[in-house]
Amino acid sequence: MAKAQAAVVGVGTTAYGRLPDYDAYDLGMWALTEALGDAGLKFEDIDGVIINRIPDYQRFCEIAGIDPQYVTITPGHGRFAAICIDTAISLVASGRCKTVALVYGNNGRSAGASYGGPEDSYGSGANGLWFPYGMTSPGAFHALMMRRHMGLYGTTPEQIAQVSMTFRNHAALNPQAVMREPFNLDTYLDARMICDPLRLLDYCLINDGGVAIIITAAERARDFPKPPVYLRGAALQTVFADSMFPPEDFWRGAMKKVTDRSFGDAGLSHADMSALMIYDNFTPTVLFSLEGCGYCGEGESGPFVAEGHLALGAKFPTNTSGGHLSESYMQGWALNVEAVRQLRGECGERQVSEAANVHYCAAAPVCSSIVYSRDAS
Amino acid sequence: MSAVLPSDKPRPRLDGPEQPFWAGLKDRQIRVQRCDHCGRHRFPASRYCPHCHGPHSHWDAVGGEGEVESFCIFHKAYFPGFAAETPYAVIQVRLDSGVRFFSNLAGGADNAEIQIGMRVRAVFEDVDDALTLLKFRTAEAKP
Repeated sequence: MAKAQAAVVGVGTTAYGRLPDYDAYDLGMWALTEALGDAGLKFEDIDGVIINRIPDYQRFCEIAGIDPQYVTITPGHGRFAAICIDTAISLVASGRCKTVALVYGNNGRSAGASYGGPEDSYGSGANGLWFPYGMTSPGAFHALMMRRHMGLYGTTPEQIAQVSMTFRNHAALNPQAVMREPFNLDTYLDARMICDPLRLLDYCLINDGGVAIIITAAERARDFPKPPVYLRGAALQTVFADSMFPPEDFWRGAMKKVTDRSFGDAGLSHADMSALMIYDNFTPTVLFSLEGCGYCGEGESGPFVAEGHLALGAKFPTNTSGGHLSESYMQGWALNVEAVRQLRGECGERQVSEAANVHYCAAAPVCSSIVYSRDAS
Repeated sequence: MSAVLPSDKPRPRLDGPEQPFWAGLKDRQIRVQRCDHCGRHRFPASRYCPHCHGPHSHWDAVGGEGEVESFCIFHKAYFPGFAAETPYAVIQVRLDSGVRFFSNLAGGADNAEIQIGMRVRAVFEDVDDALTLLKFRTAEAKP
């Protein structure tokens, strides 16, 4: 078991929802200002910047009035949250940067962003090859996977509903969440079908918002006002070959690899996790992640979630903020902030008692796993 | 009177890298790329083989029988041309040659008939003089 090399020393979030007066740069600035305040740092202390979703890195740094040594920009795909964090760990662990700011800004709701239709390029970008058949949208891709999972393992809509209902119950305890009204199974089943077997309440919420995270080397992490949250393990595994079509194993193979690697580095196991933050662009992704990470067996995620394990107070409280389904679709970033806030004990009514380790994971063509801990080793 | 003209639906790019595929459908053939080096079929088109990275390939007709791997039913119309057809089904088909397509069941099929694992056979559906789409109909189980 290795000692953590990096830690989160600042997090910042904007309000989420409809923020028409803010563009993506403004949202990034708002979040970064919050994160620097949280870390007790000034803008000029940042020597590495990783931008996500904001259109232009130069313009952003110009607005922020900063000249970092290192800068890069990444596409606005949710899978990139973990990639950016993984890169920041390498930058501070190698000593190439002291203080890396990760900045995400998303004005998707006010800008009218949508998925599916003529502009959609989800996945490997088939140049509209399947549009003549009406095939489009990441939701449909996940609907195809869910249908197959239902066929293979007997997973039911009533089981899938538990994911969405549980996260909404969590959101009810989170003042920052956009959707806070709990709903019951009938409401879930009556929600309009978007792409059968997926209903409206299986889809995440496109909103405006920004998130920033400040990462530094573990040995410096005690010099900041808030207790450090250590990055004990992080791993990525791509699944790109033949990825125009859904993966036959529901990304289980890659999710197992990243879980094994990150848990191995952390010296921790499933039972050590106080809470889970699972990338929930759609409810099925949560099921596939639970199986891939090994929280339940292959094909067993339906009964597993129906047993209530994801609820606050249960074995693996998951997406305690409400996640993408109920807090806001901040493409993984806000889930990573929630992991940090849980470990600092800042989560108010939704606080997991004595939170020690939190597992973030995302099942996608880039699978990822990050282990956050209160302790460095 | 039909409420939806075929022209309201999105059209593929016929003169792009998949031109031989679209031309093949006109000839009632499913032509996909076949690697001259390792012999693997692939679609959509790419200059290099993703399996062996060889640069040479030719377009080769493959058989039209396969199996439905999964399906989903669109209740939302992301394209106006599909609005009158909702709920409509998209099927994910694997041909026996291993090549995969997203497609639909041809004319008048009931969404409730679709099952994972069911055998299907290619149908060439003429949209107009320029465009034929590869669709499928249910077929007998493999002998």
